[in-house]
Amino acid sequence: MSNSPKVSKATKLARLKHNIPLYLMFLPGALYLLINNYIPMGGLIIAFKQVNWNKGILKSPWVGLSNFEYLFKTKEAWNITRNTLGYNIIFIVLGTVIAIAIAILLNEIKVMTLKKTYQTIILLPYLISMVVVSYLVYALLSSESGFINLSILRPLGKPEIAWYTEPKYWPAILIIVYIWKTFGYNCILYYATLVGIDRGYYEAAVIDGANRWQQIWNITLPELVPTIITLTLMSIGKIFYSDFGLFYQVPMDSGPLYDVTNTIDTYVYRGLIRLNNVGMSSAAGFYQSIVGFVLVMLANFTVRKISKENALF
Amino acid sequence: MKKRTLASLLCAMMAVSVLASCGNSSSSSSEASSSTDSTASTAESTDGSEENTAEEDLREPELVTLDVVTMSSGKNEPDITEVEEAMNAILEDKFNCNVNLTFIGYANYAEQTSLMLSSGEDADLLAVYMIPLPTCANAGQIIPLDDLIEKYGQGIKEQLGDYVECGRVGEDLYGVTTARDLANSQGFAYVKSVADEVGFDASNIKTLDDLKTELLKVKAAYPNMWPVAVSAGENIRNWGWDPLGDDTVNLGVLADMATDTTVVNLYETDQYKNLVTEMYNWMQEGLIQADAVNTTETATTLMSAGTAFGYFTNLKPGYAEENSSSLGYEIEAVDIIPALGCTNNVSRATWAISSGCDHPESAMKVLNELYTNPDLSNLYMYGIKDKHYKVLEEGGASNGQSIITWADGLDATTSNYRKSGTWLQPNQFIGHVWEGSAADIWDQQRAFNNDAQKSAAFGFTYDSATVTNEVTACTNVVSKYNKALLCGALEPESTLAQFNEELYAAGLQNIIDEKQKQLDAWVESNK
Repeated sequence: MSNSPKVSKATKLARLKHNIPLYLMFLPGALYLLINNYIPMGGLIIAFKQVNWNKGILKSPWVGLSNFEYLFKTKEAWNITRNTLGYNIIFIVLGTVIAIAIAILLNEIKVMTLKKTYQTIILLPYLISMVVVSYLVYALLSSESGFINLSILRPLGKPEIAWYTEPKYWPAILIIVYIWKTFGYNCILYYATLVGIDRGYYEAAVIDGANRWQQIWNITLPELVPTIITLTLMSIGKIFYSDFGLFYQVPMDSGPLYDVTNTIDTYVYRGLIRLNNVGMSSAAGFYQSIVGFVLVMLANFTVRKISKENALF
Repeated sequence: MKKRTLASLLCAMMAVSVLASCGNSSSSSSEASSSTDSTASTAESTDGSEENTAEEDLREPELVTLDVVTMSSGKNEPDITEVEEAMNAILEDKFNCNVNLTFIGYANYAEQTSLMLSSGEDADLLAVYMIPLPTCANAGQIIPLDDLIEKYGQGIKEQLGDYVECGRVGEDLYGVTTARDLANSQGFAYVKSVADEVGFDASNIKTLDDLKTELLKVKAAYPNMWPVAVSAGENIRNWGWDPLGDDTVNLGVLADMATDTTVVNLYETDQYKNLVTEMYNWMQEGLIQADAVNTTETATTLMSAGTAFGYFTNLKPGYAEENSSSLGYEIEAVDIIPALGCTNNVSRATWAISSGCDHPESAMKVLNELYTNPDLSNLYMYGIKDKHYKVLEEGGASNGQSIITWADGLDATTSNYRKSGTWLQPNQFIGHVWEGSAADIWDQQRAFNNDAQKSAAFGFTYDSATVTNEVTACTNVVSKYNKALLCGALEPESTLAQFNEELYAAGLQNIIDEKQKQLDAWVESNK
């Protein structure tokens, strides 16, 4: 009993030595995180300052929470919060379902060349810049020369639609664009897990007389659960952030659409690029991080309650 | 090692500032006296006296390089380096200064410059345009110029006269306006060849309705050409009101040609309602480009391509001639709303010194030189003689400069240093006159500035510091509706009601009250 700390110290040291290569591998990543993610956190004080560049950040006067006011002050505040959260929830749910469905379908394809071809095709949109995507969308929707107006609605004798001034279509358009762009990438993450599932389970199931559907339901999906939870938790952490390109570039910053396209990020951008006030933009960033942090903790807590081994931490 | 370099740097800086302040106490008094008696003059060449007296003192002990930023014509200017070298030859000799020129396109100008100002890098001396001067000043991004202009900027004061005062924020001077049209009339510019062909007659046009009648002729003759094109979603910026500092958002204005000092909500006025209703009707009749709201093109691009006829714009003397030469095809313009002079017109585009500038004194010296030295100014505006432009008539302009045009074999598209918006460069009035413009164009513009009807709040600058939250909120509401309404893309009746409701919910009344309070105080002190 008396010499146990000594022993554990010795083993600890041994373990440390043993793991030196691993620590070395960890070092660059840690440094990156420190420089890129932790040190800039000091900048959070800007959110509580009335920044005056002549005095410098530290000497600028404190203004308490007044930089945050504009985020909550107006009717718009509700609107942007609703949009940010609403779209993200839909993206998470729909994105996961579709990605899993496609991953399972991919897994069922037995011809190797076809499988590779499909994989490449669905991954392509993920690699395209949002700005390019916005012009692809424009090519479809432009009221003068857009494909939909010119080649579909007009020949059918239907009235043409001024897409960029009609907010009601945009929730659907944005969701389609987002899913189209990202499902390929998510699908590959799930597919990687699928490939790792022991074939023995399926063989056993077939012997027991399970059909395809039963195999998916009872083997594939349960095996996917940890991946689903991890990916979902990570998306929940970003639920208060929005893809700026998607909400700013794709609707081409069209004013009449703001009700359905304005998210926290675009709101802050629009308000501040004209006012050019850093205090207020960091306030928005601060607010987003806090909400994201709380949500991740909550979600992880819930997962821990339900099944401990699947929680992130 | 580091400490030592820092120390020596500090020493050097101290030495500079001591030298600078010594040098000037002797010369500034004489300059001040010489400038007072010529404030009202139209002052073309102010070289001479002050430069001679202060020549030795103005040189920096070590070579200083300043980043100078203004707007470009929208494409790359590959010959910048050569122009820089030519400008540096003048500046090095005089001040031991170099300049490093940066040009930014119209579409990115506000964003890029506000980023530069926030980071304090890449810009020492710049044209502040499309971002409000007061917010830059309140954020400490630019520095007060009173002392500097007193010491080194007498030439600027002579050139601008009273207009210098419009660059104040509160008590302090933060920006000096560029010499240009300091009042604006509003009207319509269009392609001359098409107008001649379809019988578009500008002399019939007194109102928007008249313009519509004429535009219908264009529509009839060219069904595939938009009679009205829109630049980057903005059809009309102003139609005869004083926005009191909020240039594009109009939060609290003096409406109807700004004859009295009651601040009102523009979006509730009949003036605005009539305008957007008219635009809506035009859109319905296919007179305005269908994609107006989200177009990222400029009207002139569409006009070059032959798919558009004209565009609404603010006008000044020589507008058509000036733009014809840079566009490469002939345009004409017709006034509809008479000229109105507002503080905005003056403070909208000013030259300022960034607080990131390590050598504010040199920056002011260079700026003063740009306002007063025609050779330097011509280089900056037009490039190198016989390379980028050639002289048609030596001394042909009424300010003693020459009438010039593209150098042989070049035009607006092939030149590598393109004559762009010289109005955003410090002082075009001392420079050459481009072929096609009247020889006395700069005198005409001076007269235009002096004769324009002045807003009741001319000279008043408004400080939004106490209502920033409301301004952010209202700005978002305005960007949602205003441009689209002015493009005619939204049905005015219902939209206006909703628009105003949201504005008041966002705190517009506080902004109007604050503006009124400041304006009343200003009126009181200027009685």
